[in-house]
Amino acid sequence: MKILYKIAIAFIVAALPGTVLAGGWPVKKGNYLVSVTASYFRASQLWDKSGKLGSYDQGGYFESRSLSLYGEYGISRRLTGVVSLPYIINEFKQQDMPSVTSQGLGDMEFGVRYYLTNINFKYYFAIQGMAIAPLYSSTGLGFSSGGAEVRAIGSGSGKIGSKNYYINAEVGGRQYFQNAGPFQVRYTGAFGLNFDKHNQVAVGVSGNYSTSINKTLDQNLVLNKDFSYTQGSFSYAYIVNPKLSFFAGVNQFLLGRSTGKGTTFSLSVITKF
Amino acid sequence: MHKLKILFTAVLMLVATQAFCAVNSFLQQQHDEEQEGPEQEGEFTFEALPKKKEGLFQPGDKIEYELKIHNSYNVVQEGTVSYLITDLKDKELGSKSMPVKIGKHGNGKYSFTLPQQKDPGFYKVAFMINVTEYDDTLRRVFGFNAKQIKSTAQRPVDFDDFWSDARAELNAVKPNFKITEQPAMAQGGTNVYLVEAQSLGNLKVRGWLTMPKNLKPGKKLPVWLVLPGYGGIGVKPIFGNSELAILSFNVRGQGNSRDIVHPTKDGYLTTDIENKKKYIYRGAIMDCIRAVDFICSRPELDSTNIICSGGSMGGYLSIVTCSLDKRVKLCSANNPVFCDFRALQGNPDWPMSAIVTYSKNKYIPMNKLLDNLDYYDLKNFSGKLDCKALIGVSLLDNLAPPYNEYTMLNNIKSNPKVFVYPELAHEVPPSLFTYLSSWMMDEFGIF
Repeated sequence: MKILYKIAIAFIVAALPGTVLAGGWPVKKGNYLVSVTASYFRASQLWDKSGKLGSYDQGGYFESRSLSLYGEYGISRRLTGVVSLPYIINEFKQQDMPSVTSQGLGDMEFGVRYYLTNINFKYYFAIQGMAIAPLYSSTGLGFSSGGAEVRAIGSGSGKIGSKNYYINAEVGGRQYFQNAGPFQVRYTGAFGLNFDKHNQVAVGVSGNYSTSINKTLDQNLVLNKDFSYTQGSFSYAYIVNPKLSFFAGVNQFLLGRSTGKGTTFSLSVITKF
Repeated sequence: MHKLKILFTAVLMLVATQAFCAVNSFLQQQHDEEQEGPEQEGEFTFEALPKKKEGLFQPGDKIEYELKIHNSYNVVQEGTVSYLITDLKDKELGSKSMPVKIGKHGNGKYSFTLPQQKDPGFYKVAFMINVTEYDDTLRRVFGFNAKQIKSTAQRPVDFDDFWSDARAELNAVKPNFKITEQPAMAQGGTNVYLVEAQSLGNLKVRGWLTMPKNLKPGKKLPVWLVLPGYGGIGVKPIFGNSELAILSFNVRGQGNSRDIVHPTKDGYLTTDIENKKKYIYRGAIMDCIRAVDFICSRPELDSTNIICSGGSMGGYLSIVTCSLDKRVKLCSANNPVFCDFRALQGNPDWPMSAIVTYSKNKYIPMNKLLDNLDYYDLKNFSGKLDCKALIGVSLLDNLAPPYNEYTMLNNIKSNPKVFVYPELAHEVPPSLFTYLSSWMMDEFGIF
């Protein structure tokens, strides 16, 4: 008589969650996810309106340094509040002119992400709505215009052999509320692989297709409204524990039109509590 | 003289070595002769896979199986593959045979379309292979129009009153909950507590609660209530993660709740079965409700996020608890037993075998026992199962046969997620536990 019935308890417990995640995954109700990112970008080459690459004249360049605070808060099982606040220092130098520096708080973005559904608890899908509010008056920091964005997000994780992986894909439309817009289609995709409990590498691609009736091409990249670019990224993460991770990343512009070609280096810390 | 001694020793060793090799060679040769036959590499395999992954066919579906054969011998295999289909009472419903020829170390694939069935139900099918060097039989079960399976047994008209009375009786017993930390049992960041409560008949029942240490003030943890399977061993502390409390609760006669009520393993099922108001499961079911009472009494436990789970008898108790107690949010039950007792008559396996033996030994008519068991039949509870549920069923399960499981499942008005395993008996695969974990995590919002 085989009546005893064993539950694979150990298996269940081992399968319980988690690491620090963002993307399409919700945040537990009442919990926070916070990240701080420092980044440095420099472009000394320019793509013109037809996508032809050239150099800034006589040692000109565009440089941007920023410190960004990003936060998520679990409002309910399905709803996550999202906010980001950057502090930006932009520096632009043209020919033999002295460099011009603008600094201050940039565009604050805030909104909510709604967890739509999942596929076998492996792939999560969400939709996110954000408002954009400029916290500056200087044109050297952004479009000085309010805006709104709607974004669809899909994220997943699983195993390749014995290694954990994650994927993330996002696409969104953003409209700035001024005469010349612009309207932007922004997209990003990433694939990360955990080599062990602590080390993760990720590669990604992202881009922005921005359209406006204002077709002006300015060497001060912040002023351009009609442009596009695609960039590739590589990042390394050190996962201290499921609630704390450090990231180091590099983004390289690969293709573009009416914008600068440059490289971004960034360092981040992400924590969940 | 010394050199001569060395030489002599060397010759002796050489002779000994040669002799050893010769003996070995002889033995090997003899062994080879004894084993004379076709050279074999790996295992001969014979598989039968239903065209529908879960082995469940709908009207209009071709009831088709694919047979896969791997010949591991260095000999051509000739013979037949065949099937024999019967109903659950072994009445023959059809058979067919076809010749096969599989090359040396070759593979073969054959397809059988079984005759269409008229009646909703589960059917047994045996696939046989009889070839030159290999004979084997695979036994499978498939379902036809399973969602239309209905029990012929009626639910007692006073079923709800019977259980309302039991709840009222339980409510009249002061629970006197007691929780005692067990420092010696703590593991890592998790504390263990002994939970004690007075239940139906003022009987003390116990369980184990595990919770993360250093819980923030005001934080409420979702609770996973785990109920025991049959056998008396019960459930022990389970160590989860920092976002979950786990209550492993032993109903009377199980685990650490065996001090007063302690029937034998075989006798548990029939303890006071002849009296529906004293039957051991009346108390055991109320013990489960008391466990939910305990959860709801604790400020650190989230009474809005409770999952109740178990396998076999634990699956039975889980569905019963969730049907009777709407405070439970999620239900998980694998291979739940005690569905449609009356349809189990004639079944030689437990639990019916134990009930029939008891009936004979005690001279109590079977009908009398079955009348009482109607109040404990899982199919009679499942109509009230409203919460989200995850249920695992295995088609080769002789203790919780699929026909009986479907009489219970088809009474559920909500839409449970049912996983069906055509090649398993009284068990479910690890993948279901992974799914359960992810499902629970998602429903509780533990991201």
